[in-house]
Amino acid sequence: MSDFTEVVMPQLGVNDTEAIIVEWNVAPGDRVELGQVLAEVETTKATFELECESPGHFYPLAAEGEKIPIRAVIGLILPEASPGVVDHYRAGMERRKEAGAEAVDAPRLTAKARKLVEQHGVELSQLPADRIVRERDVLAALGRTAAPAAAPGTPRRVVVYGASQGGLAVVACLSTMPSCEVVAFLDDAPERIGTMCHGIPVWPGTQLEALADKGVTAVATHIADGALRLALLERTGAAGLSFMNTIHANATVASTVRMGMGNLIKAGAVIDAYVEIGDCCIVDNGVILPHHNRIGDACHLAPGACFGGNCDVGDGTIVGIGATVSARIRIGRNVIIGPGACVLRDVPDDAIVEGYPGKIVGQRKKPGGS
Amino acid sequence: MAGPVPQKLFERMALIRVLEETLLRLFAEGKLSGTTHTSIGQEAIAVSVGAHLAEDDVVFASHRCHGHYIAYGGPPELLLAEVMGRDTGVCGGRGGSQHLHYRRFFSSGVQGGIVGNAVGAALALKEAGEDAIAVVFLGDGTLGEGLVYESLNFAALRHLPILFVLEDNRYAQSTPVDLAISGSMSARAEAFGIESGEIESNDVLELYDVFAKRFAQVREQRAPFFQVVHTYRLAPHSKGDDHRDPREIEERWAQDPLALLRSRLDETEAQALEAQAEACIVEAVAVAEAAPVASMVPAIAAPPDVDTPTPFPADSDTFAQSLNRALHALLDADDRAFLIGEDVLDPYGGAFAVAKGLSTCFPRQVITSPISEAGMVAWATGAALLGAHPVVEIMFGDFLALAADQVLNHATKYGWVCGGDTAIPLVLRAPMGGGRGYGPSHSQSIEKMFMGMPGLTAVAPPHLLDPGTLLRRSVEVGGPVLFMEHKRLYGRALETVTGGRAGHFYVRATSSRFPTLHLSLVEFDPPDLAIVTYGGSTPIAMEAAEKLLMEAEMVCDVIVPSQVSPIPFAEIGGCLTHDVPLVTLEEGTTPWGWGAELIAGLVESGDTRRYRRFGAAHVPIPAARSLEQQVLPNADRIAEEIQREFA
Repeated sequence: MSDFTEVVMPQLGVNDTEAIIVEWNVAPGDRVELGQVLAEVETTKATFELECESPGHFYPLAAEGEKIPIRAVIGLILPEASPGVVDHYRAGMERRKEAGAEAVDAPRLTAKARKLVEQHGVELSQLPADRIVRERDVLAALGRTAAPAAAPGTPRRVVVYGASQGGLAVVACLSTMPSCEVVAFLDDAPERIGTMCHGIPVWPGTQLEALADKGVTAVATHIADGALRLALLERTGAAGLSFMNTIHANATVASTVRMGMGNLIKAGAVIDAYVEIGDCCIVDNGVILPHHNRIGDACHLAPGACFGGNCDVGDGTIVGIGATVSARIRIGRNVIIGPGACVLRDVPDDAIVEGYPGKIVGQRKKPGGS
Repeated sequence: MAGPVPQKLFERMALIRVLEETLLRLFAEGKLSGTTHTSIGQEAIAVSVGAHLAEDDVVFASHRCHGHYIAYGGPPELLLAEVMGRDTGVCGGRGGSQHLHYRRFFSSGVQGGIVGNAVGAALALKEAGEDAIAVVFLGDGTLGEGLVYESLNFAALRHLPILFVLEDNRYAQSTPVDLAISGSMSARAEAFGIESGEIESNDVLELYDVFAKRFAQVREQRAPFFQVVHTYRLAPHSKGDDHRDPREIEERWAQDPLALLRSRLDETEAQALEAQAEACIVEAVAVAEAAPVASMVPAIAAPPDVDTPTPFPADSDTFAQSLNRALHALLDADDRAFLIGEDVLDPYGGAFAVAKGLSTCFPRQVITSPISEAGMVAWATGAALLGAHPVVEIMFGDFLALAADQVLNHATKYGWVCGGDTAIPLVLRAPMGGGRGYGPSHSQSIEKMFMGMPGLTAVAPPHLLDPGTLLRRSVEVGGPVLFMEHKRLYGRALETVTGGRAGHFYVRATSSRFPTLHLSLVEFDPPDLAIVTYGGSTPIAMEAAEKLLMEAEMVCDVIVPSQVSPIPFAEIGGCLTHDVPLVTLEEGTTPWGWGAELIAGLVESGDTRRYRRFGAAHVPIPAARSLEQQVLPNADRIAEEIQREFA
């Protein structure tokens, strides 16, 4: 390619970031001499004459009236008249512009999100394009979502662990969620294996590790033992599956709620703004969790349990049917609040509380189980 | 005009004399608040000027102002009550001896300041087409102040109807004139092309004739006049500070203006007038003493808040274009609004082109100023006192320091001292900030030096709000507003906010006059921390927030009050719903700064989060870009430090 000199929009006023080409004084291809006026340029302050700094044949790359950023290339000067060189240069400019525009349209991923996308080969089209994509968005696309407001992706093939009454309740929940297809139950009781439960086949629990190959992406459960739910979380992760949050469509979950994985939120539960829930909890029918409650991992909040705002509930704790917990109460780990108890004071770890007002009536030895 | 009535003049002079002798006695008895400066021996000047004042003339006087106040027609009982610290005082006990305000009479205790204010008042009178003129009393000592010369220059340039009355009483406090003044007093005015006169006299009848001519000339020619009167102060500067030779004072008593006039009156008539003055003051003292001691320290009158649509930028004007458009609209809609600044005329249109086109469209309302920042603010303040709506363009915010006395002791004081009917609807537009390599005196953000002044509102539009609308609202609030424009924003296109989004940010805003913005990258999911910032630092905070999210998934909300001072704690608190760390970002240096004030306020209200301040390094701002970048806050460093400290 022959030599060329780029004509650049000069910095005319100290405070200008762009300037307008009012008029080209030379036609494309004209021979121009040192000091000849090429164009009239206007800044916010004044009009300037743009002079030729290198003799040759001039070709403009910007239109009259166009606003040009300072230091951008507005024309070329070639030793000989050679429109081909100019076209080549212009094509390069267009390509760069298009590449820039594309970069803007593609989803922007945080470092963590990008890593996950690369690990799991997630299609970028599955990710939100209108905001910065975070790790949680990628998890949502992978069906491991914590985000209640996440847009549904492709239908998820789900298995339910436990072909029991609880399992059927989970199936009922899943049926209210868009894009979920229940493929099978898993169960460890030999007498159930190979049967059909309400039209759904029951596979052995040992199959879990092979499910990914069968196109299954997610697991849900109603297993009552919190420790077992946590163990299932480990197993599913290792098996490349998502222990999904199962949220009944008739549960009310505020958009600012944060939760981990493997939670079961049943119909009629109300989970208000800024509540945080860990992993593997069951929030049963009619539970009321007002704003800023923090629930640990593997908790079970039984039907009708009712909380004030801003309570803390430690890992593995069970709150019984219809129990009431006053606002700002701290409940420790591995606690049992008896049915109908009314908790007015903070509760230490491992305590068993019953009655009105709630009193400590015993100690719980083994973590987990209900 | 009819000739002088000696009895009337004597009555006024006797009233001043008795009043001031009474003040000295009350001072000795410990009944006065603070000190008092008397004009005993100078009464003939005040009274001969006062005799020619028209109803609407404006009078400015300095610390030695009792005589001028009485000559203007101020009620003595209100003055006595004021100096005695009573609720019924002419300024409710807020002003005391040196700060009096009655109708169109103003006084203030800092030398020189009122000279500028009086010139501004004359400008307002002229622009409003009033017949009235301004009169300002200054002393020989005041000639040491630079603002006097800025103001003489401007009064001459603009042909303003003002009479300068220089009372040379031979001493500036304890310093005799020959140690303080070189050359001629009247030649100082002549140098600016202001006609002047000079007389040595304590004869009120002679002075009456002199001032009859001066008033007539200023009224007819609508041009300034500078009258020097050499006189002598017979009493101490204030109290107990007289080190002059007693023989010198004794000799001067032979020229006592009261005695001179009294000798021409009938003795019984004179006695009757003296008795009348005596009785008037005795009664005024009794009334003042019976009045309740001043008890109410009024709060600074905050402009009533309004619920109004958030002025998100409507189109992609640049920041400077929006301001320019707002000024066009302001000058068009408001006949009493004017813009004053250096180099603001077309075709230049101001250093940042904000005034471009204005002087062509509104030649009367766009005033190009000499390089006189103290002057500009003083004139604007005086004009605002008289009902004008001035907008002052300070070329670089750094130069506001030249006008500090005017902002501190005048613009923010008159309204509060003078009381309800006095407002200073003054807007000081100041380009702040660096990033352009302008070096130590053209790159600073010095607002913290001003924001501690009670009565000053500071507004800083970010690029996500329409700066022009905020400028219009600043004019409307009716109090002095420091309006900060960041130089980096001028050429930048405003960011439009559509559907609650600005780029990747979700935007919420309060609906107050100067709204607070709450920006979130994650649709207001709970953040990990929040940055509170303002004005030109907003893009930096947004960039840092994006970096934190992209690199570390730290969710960082950005909170941007457009009213920077007084800090809108309720609005900021409304954005701080989570107990997460809070960092402040300002472009000035952090010691004694805005971030410190914001955090202190939050801590006082019981807030118990972690805090961190970001700002410029505590050194002057270097010119070399490479050095400047080290000193000014930048997004990379902020994001790094936040990660190190809070991740």
